[in-house]
Amino acid sequence: MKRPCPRIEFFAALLIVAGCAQHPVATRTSTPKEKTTTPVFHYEERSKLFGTRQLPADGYRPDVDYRSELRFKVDSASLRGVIKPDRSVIPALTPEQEARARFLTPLLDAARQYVNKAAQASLEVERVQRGGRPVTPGERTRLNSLIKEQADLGLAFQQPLAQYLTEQAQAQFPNDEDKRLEYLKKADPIFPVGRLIDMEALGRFIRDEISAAAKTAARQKEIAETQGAVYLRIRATHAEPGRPEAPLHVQPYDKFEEGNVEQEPAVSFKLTDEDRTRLQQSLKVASDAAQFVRDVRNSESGLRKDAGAFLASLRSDLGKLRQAVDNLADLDAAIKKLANIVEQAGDSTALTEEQKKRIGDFKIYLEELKRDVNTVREKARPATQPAGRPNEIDTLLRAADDLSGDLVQAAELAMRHATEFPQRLKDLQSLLSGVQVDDAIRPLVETVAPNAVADWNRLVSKSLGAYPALVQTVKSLAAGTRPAQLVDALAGLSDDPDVYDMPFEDAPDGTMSLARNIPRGPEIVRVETQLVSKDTDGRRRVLRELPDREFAVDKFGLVSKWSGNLIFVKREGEGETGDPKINFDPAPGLSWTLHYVPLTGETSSAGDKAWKFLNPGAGLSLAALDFEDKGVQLGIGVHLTLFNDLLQLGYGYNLNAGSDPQYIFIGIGFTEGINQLSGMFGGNSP
Amino acid sequence: MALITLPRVNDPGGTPEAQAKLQAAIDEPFTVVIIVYEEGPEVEHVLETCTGRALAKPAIRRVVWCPDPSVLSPEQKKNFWRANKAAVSVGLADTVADALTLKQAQVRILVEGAFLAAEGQTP
Repeated sequence: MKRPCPRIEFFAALLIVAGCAQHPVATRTSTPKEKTTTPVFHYEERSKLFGTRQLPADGYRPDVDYRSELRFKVDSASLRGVIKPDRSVIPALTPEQEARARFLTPLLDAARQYVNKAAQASLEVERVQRGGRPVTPGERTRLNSLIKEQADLGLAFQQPLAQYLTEQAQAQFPNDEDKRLEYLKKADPIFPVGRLIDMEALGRFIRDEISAAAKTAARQKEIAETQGAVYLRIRATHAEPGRPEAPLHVQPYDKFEEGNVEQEPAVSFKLTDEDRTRLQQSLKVASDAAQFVRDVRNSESGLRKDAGAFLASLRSDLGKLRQAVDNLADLDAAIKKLANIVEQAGDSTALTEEQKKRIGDFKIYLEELKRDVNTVREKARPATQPAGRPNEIDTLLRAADDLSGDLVQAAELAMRHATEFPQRLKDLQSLLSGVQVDDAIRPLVETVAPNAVADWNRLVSKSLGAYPALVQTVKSLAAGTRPAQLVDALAGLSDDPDVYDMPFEDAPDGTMSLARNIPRGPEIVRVETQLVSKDTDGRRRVLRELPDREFAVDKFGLVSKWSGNLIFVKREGEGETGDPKINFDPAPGLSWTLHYVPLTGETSSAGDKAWKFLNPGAGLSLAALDFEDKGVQLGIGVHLTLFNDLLQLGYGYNLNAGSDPQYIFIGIGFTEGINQLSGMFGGNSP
Repeated sequence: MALITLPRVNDPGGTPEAQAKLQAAIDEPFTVVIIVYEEGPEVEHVLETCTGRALAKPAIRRVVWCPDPSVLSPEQKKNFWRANKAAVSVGLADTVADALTLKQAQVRILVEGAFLAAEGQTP
């Protein structure tokens, strides 16, 4: 049989390696929460191997060894700063926030003046340019002055707005210029393409900023009113990537039981049950992959024929995606109408102040919903299909783009509102049930009548609720055969009965034992923190959520690992007459590799970071070979690996070959490759 | 036309044509210019952002894209190019009014500021 050039497989391997090296494994994203600039908790890691190590105050997911203990100290002074308990009486808006409102509102007038003057200047310049006649010195001076005048008005609007955003960005991201610049893009909708200023977007921006300030003020007022009865609640969880989170006992903050797991040793030849299961899977994958490579060579194989059907299915789902986005336009229009009706209800004389406040809250929620619907529309809008017959590669690339973080984030927003909106309507319905109806409130009462509510819920679930399922469908298609695993959500922290309310003034230090809870890495440990108050009935209200802290727990130092690989074997020599030519033929392989994994963090040396990125290893390997067309022959060899066993290079000896038993091989850690590629599509690790 | 693209060194007539086109854009009365340097995916975003803002005042604002800064004459380089900046705005006084980094030049409010600074110059 004529064998094709081995370069195809080699380049395929290189592509996978390159793809994986640039795309980290998908991991759970933490919920964005309010930022605080002062560290409230100081974490340290204590381990026999690495001693005691201070962890960065606000670094992104520092490495922690799985045999260690995590401790945190509570900085009471900083915590008091977060709560600001010294403020006994707080007006609806703090002076600072009032200043913000006073500062932002005149921007509308400044913008209007600028737009008028700029339009006048543009028209006059255009007239002169069109006329094509020489410009008199007087005219030149006049036009230049007009341009300068409109520019000064423009700067009087643009500079304070830019400064305002810069200050906000500085407060949130003091050490990250890229993020600060990204924050300034919040003003992008105010400056649309081809138009001077979108006044509506500016109005929305100002209203949102003031409303955010009002919300903060209301929360701070509540904090001040409940001072002395503020509690700290802390809960930690741990999870392997893609698996459900399990609680991790934080001594003395919760009632969860301390674990008593038997940890795997970091270096061992022994195969654990877990290893055995994993290797069985990965060897099956490697074996299938070897078959896959053979099928790719064969134009008559089922694989070649099935690819067309898969692409047709993918195209059809992208069509549904566009339809879902169109439905969102209907929803956006309907929300605008509803917002007007809610606005009108505010004029009612039949409502108490408290009822008006709750209707006002609903209105604020509608603003948020409107914004999120537009975000979903923006993020989910598929790229324009090129004219003519869609190209297979373009279709796949577009699907990959649609499935990237933006779309998944949009789906999360959609899921949230599909649940929250009906609940909000129900609350409003109950609020209005006992209210005397006047003209101002009548449209709202009619809008939340049971039949109308059912229509609303249909609209919302059609526009938003249908969307995540669609995303999931496309995601599963693109991820091949591994749908994302469903993760059971834990109860909200404020409702978790196993977490203690610790008086915040005397909040004690906390300890988490990784050695007793985490059998092996990698896992993510997440710590959630809330400040709550309790009313006389013992019901909790969340006053403040502090940002989650996450830690990447894994084996560090010398670590051994068994893995299944797809290897390409080249026999050294021809063998005996009649033996097939073995020139980079695919075969499944099994390898034991020893790595040194340094703990890296923000203060690590570049060498450590580079080492961790390359993650080299050396070890022994076994391979299932067939040099003589007589069934499986066992090969044994030594190898070097790079990128966490993703790429392998080795030299081996076929124990059953009659002659020329030596071979060289290049290998791919196939399951590592799939895990990392799956990360690109937002899938879960097996 | 909001976007003027300058030829590269190796294009036919590249250097002299590029220098002439840039000078013509700067000399045009009543107009201000943002010159965008280099090429690449991020520069494409910069061009998108700058052109979007230029189209808001098409009679007054121009964007010149100079993918190959080596076409500039020594004098043009001295006057209209700034180290570590991806875009500069040149105003009615034919001098640099503002200079933006690659990241800054992708933020609309900052590009608007650069154009306004240029328009605010007295010739």
